[in-house]
Amino acid sequence: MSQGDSSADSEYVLLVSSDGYEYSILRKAAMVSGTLQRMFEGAGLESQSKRVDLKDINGILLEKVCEYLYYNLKHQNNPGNIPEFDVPPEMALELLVASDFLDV
Amino acid sequence: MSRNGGGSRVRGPNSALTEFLRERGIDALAIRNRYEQTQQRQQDENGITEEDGVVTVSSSANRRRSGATEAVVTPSARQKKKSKKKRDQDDEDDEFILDRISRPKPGQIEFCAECQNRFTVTAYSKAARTGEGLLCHSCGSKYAQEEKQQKKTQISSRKKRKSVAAALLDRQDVMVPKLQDVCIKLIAKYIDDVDVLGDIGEFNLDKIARILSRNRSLRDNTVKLFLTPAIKSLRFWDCSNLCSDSFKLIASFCPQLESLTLSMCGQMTDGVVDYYAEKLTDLHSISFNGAFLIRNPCWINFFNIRGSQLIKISIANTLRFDRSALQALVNNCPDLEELSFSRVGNLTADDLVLLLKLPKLTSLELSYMKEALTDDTIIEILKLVGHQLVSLNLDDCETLSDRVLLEGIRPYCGKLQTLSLGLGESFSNEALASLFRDWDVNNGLINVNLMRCTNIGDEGIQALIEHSAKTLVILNLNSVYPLTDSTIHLLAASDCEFLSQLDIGFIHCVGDREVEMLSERCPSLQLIEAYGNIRITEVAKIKHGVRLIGRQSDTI
Repeated sequence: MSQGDSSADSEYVLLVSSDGYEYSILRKAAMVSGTLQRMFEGAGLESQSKRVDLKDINGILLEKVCEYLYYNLKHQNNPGNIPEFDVPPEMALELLVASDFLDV
Repeated sequence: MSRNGGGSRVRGPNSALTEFLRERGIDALAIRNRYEQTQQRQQDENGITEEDGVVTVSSSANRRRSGATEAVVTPSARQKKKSKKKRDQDDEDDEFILDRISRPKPGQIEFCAECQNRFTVTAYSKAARTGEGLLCHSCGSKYAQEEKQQKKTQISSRKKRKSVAAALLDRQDVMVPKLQDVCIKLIAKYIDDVDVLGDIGEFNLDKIARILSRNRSLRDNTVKLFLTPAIKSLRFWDCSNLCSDSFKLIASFCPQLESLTLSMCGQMTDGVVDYYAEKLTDLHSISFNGAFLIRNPCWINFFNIRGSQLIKISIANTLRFDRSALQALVNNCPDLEELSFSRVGNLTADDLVLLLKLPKLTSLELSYMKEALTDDTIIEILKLVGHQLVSLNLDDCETLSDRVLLEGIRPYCGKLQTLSLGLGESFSNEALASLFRDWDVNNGLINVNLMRCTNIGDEGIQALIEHSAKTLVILNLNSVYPLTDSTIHLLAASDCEFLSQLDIGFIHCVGDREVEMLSERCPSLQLIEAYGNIRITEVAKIKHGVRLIGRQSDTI
């Protein structure tokens, strides 16, 4: 978790899953999620500590979510010809609930 | 044309043209490269040899012509364009022809242009980049990688154009798909294996139902996924695969339903509707499209039991709804506010008079029922409820005349916001103009549909624009042929702040300039439907954020 970086581009935030897995991702990537954006830009605890505890999302799901956040960030400016984002079907329902919560 | 250099690979059948070209050793890529090389050389020498260039133009004109017919057998259109462009620079053509003539035949022994090794010429030997000889097998295959890359980028850019055009037709922006949508698509795909949907929110539930309906996978085994006891509103757009027992399940699992929309419900039987009448005690809003098995006595029974609480009724596409059913409806639903009949074939003009018993109507639709519509009935209805009517839809109304406009709508419909008079071929230009000119009781229409009102022209539409420019959000002028560009210019110039959807299909006068003007001057414009406007080309510059659909040049 790199802190105190003046350039916004390399600022990182920490997402913690329900089973204790910690994922450190670019702040920019986290902002893809509406919920996370509101958390980090609001006046709450998260924006200061740069850390969010997601008690309803387990490690595997959270990892997939982080993968998606980067996928979205990478292809934001490139309409047309975007490769498919693979999701194993067993995960689909829970991932839907998680992505609904995260507004992503 | 990808070559894998050297020939022991098995190849499938090829067209005669491909074989011809290959035999002669004519390679499109080589020609293009040679051209580009000589272009480069030309640009360097241009200052010095300008005069020579002029001389060469005239002298080799003949040779060029003969060469052009045989030699320029290039497969891609782009190359043809290039060769047309360079008609003035003939040095290239000369060289090209010479090359063709002097290309060594297969079987001859040659020296490689690059590595100077000896090799036997085959039909597949690649021409050197500099255009002055052939390459041996190993040098030729070096470039195979590059050529593959080039092809790949060509294909991917073609795919990109395709996906953008396809997305345009789907009215979606090509963006990164949301994770929710990815999951929903996946769930819809594997829906047969899903046991229970769980807590995913009503909005997502609705989305999944919509996708399933689109995929025709809403079936008896999948419908249960959407039925939870607490839901108040249910919308299934394609129930064609649901048997009557499944329809009944809806009522047993969701007794608290207040609003029920079932489209394409052809398998719904009388028993189902009776069951609904019995179980759905909170129901106030129904929409049944395609319930053609339901017979009149069943409708009558339903209205007798549930009529008093119904606020919104929409029935479409059935022949088994006649005067007796309508009578029951009218008698039992005095509080009805929204009524919609579409293609209810057995109602006649006399029957519609019964509608005068519904004093609280705010929204009325009588579409595709032209035999049942008469001026007098409509005018009488408008006299009664016109002052509170917010939405009026009389699509397919060629049996109505200008009287409805002038004696019905104009005097009474002060609160009207949505007006749909599609296929109103009997309405005249002057009458429409008289309707909208100084129509002070009405503050402005929001949604107007005048598609296929083929006898309306500039005067009528300009009066509409002057009246409702500040409030219009959706405007459909599809097939209003007589319009000229003065009307479109007026539309653009009228500060239509809220206009977001515009359909100007099949209006001949609309061309690139008009479309550019509209996209520039209407700040909220999101969608322009322009099917059948042959004067709009790919040149039209549309502001970012405005989607233009239906251009001939947008091919998939």
